[in-house]
Amino acid sequence: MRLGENFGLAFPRKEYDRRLGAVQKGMASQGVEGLLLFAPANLAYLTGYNTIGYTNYQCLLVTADKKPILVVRLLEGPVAGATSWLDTILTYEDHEDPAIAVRRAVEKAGLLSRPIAVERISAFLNIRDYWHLEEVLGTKFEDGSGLVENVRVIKSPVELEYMRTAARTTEAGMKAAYEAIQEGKTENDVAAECYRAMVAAGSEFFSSQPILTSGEKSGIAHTTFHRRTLKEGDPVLIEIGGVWNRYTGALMRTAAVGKVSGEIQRMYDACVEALEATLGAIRPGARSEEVQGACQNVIDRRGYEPNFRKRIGYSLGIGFAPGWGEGHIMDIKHHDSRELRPGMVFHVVPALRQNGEYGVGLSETVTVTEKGVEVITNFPRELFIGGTGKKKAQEMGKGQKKK
Amino acid sequence: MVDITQNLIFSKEEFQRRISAVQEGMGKNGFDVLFLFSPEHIFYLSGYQTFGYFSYQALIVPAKGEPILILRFLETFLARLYSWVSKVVPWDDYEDPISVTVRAMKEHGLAKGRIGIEDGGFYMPFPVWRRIREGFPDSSFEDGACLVEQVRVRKSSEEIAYMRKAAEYTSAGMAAGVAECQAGRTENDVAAAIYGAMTRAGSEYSPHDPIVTSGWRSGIPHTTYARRRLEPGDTVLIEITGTHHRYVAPLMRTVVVGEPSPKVREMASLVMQGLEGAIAAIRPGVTSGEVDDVCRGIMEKAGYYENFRKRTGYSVGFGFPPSWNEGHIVSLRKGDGTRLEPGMVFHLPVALRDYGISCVGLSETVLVTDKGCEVLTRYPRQLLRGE
Repeated sequence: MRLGENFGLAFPRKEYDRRLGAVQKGMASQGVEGLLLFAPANLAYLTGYNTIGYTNYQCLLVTADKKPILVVRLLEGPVAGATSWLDTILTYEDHEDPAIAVRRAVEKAGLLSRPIAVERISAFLNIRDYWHLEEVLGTKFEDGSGLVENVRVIKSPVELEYMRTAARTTEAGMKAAYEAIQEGKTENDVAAECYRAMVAAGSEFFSSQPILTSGEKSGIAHTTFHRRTLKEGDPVLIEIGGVWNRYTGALMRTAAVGKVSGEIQRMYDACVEALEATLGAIRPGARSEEVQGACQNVIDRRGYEPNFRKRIGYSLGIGFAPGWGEGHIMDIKHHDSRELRPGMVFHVVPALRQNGEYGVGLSETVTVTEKGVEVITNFPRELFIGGTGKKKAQEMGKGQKKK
Repeated sequence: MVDITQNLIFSKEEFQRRISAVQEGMGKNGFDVLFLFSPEHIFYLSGYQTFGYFSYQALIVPAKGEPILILRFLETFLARLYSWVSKVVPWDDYEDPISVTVRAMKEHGLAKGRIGIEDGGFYMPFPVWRRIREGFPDSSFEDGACLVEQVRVRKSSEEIAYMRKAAEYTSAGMAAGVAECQAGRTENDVAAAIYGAMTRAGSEYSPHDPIVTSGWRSGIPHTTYARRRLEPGDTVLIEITGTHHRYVAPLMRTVVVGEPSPKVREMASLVMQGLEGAIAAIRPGVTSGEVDDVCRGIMEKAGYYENFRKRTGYSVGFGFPPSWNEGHIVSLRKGDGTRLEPGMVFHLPVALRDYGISCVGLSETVLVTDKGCEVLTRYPRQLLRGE
């Protein structure tokens, strides 16, 4: 059986050891002896623990030199045992206070009254639980935000391989969507094919479900499929990401129903040129703001500055809903002097919108290599005219480069 | 300014009823302002919805008068599409949203007094809290989210109509999934068929992806599809919901590939008794704990409590990823004294696990009516069979 294909550890044990060692090094340099983690992506990253029950209170205690201790709801005990490499998993029952279970873990590790950090910037640790845990442990926490993220930002060869595999499922979804586009069909008909094809190709539960919006609605940010019927000339903006061992390969493309207007085509062409300029600027040592600048130059020269007020890309990797992005770890934007390093992965998304009228865009998932950039996603970049018969869609499918 | 046609999914009267009920609760509990952050509470009171809720957003409800939405500029278009609230204050990406919030509240004379705030949930991490606290030195803060939850827990006829529609999508998805449960197909084939059928029927993005888990993996709680191939004798546990205007109607069924073992038959019989016992017990005035007693009692009497060991049900209504669960509002669980009222809706996932071997689960989404209850989900209630 291929590692991680069915169940059990998604990565070789030595990869988890390397990750843990790097986090422990960060803890030492910050002078903390314990680190309490709450974000499901960080728990999975360090231990393999993979559940759909991650909205329950759960916590990983990382210590300076021993194995981490996981605290989960009783119901999660079996899945934590089956998916992680840990020996010590403490559980609490529904009528018990989970903070008491965390205290047991801290006591077990001999860390009561020692300096402990928590990840303050986590959606999974709210202020009520934060205060309560400080009270139960009788301590004031230090901030350990970023200790895991600093390690996560560089992907290993195995992680990159999972992202490539995820990307294959994404491409299957995009191809199926293209084939489903037809005047008179609904956004839901097309989204249904996206979902079906990605999951049939092996994708796991999504970190973010397919985004698909059409017509004037595509000109409103953050709309998605809502049973709208497709009309001739509509742009159809699609952004999807298949998942493999919790890693996402994200891809955005734009199609049109039957025909495309000149202004939509011109706007899309600007996105393609901006994407190419961005990819051309990505290399080790390039600063985040330099890459953003390369994109911005194209946008400005094409006269779309008012339509583009966003960062060009964000880090991508391991994730759980709601959201596949790692923008809190690293992104590509103005006034950001951080340098790109080999092994970083970005979702690069030039998109333009005429507010309330139409929106277009395309994207790639890319990794920074020793010399430049490798594009992980592999799908034709031209604006696709859908609903003109199945033949065209099949040609698009053939247009894919062989791996 | 671009012309965007407003598309409210509820009547103005419905929104007015919700706001008035929350403001009445604020008055009774002495709150001057209520400060809400979760996409659920904001959607419920304002109608505004987005999948961009990873950005800071807030709804400020004064003790009297119209609320104020504080949104990232990009989201203001969606507010014009979906919300009846006309006071929308945007923040730009180069601004600090909490400073914008403080300024807006000062302008409206709302920066003092007793402020109710959501301090639980996913949207109040430490740094946001600290900045808000600093922004309102003359205010006192207390948890006020329960004021909205107390209103949300009883569904109106408009909400129930959406849950019925969601139940139609759920049925379409379940039928497609069950049809795929054959030896040689994978868990992913089943999940793919469910997504396809449910979305084609009209369902929106779901608050939670379909749960499909089979064979020995089904005996481990909170597993879902991971490319496993179905084999004869497998139990396949399916738990899904369709979504209509964000409203849900979850349903759980179990399919056996080929012949069920005697153990699976026994678990199926108990699960059926537990679910039907709970449904028969649901009526206005009964407590949550009493309903749980009926179902749990059946498991305990049969010696199966260790295989159950969970609550009998939880409130459902609408949701945004990652969850459709309103269990924090009310759950049917041991010792809970909450009395059921007409308009409450519960999902009752009754499941027994032979840990690491198999699982049998059945559920319905049930509405408490004036006299008893009505089952909103519509699918044959039995252990289902695949080839």
